Amino acid sequence: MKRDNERPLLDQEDRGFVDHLVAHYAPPPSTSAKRVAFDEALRARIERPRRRGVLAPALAAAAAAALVWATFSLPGGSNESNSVVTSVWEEELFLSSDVSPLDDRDDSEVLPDDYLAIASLFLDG
Amino acid sequence: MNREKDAMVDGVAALQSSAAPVDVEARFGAFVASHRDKARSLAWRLIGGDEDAAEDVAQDAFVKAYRALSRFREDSSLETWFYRILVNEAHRHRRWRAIRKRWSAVWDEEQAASSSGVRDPALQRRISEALAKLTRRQREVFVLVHFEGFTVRETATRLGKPEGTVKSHLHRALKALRTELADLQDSIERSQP
Repeated sequence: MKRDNERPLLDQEDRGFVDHLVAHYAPPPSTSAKRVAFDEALRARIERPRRRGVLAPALAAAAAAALVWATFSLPGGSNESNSVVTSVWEEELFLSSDVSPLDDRDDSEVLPDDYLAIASLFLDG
Repeated sequence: MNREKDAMVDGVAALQSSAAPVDVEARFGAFVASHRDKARSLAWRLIGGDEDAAEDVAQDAFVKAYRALSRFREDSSLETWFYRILVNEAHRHRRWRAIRKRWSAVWDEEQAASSSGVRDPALQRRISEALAKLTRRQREVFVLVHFEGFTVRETATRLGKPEGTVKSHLHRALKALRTELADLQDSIERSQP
């Protein structure tokens, strides 16, 4: 049970507005069948072998090749490589567009296993 | 109520059949049964009304919780960690969807299709778009507190932010949404007794 002092204080107008949003922005109701299907799909995911062991060597090799390519091709600066750099830069700028400065935090705990495998190869090794 | 209890028993039974020790499975099964609906609902609202994607995100978070289960002795700390993971997973999904949306118009068609069957698809879409215009933290805080009913303190713990920061995000989010959805005020006043 929430105590009153833990609730955000809203005046009547704001409360009406929020209640209106809550009433009209709700997912379809869950059913027993949906719950069972969810649990079955979850069990299948848990039992699925982790990809890390299979993909890590291939990803590590690909990352190493990319690193070698970047090391030798970027300083030369052909037009083609410049356009790749620009597009990567644009991509990162685009990716960060909905993240405020307050969002800088370590999200490594939620990175996919494949990323962690590559990170551990270059950062830990 | 009985239906929910049956679903909980089904969930525990389904998850107990895998190979890990029974106590871990039972604990995880109970955890899933307790948080399944809330996790789906939270993911749905953070993602912007896509049921399949919300289910996917919730399952990703549960799989991570399963693998991290042994690190948490108390379910309360597991719960706090789980919701932080879920919020981050939802954010990751939004970013990847933004990339897909940039390169293809498919997303818009998918969204339109998945909105069918709701009470007012146009209003739902407008709310979704208004939420999407908030900053990441404003959106997360607003959804956790006002839609999912977490307290300010619970939200602060789950997002790893001070309570004052949560309150500030809440205030700004509400102000931004009221501006963005100002034209809804008439229909709100009409619907009130």
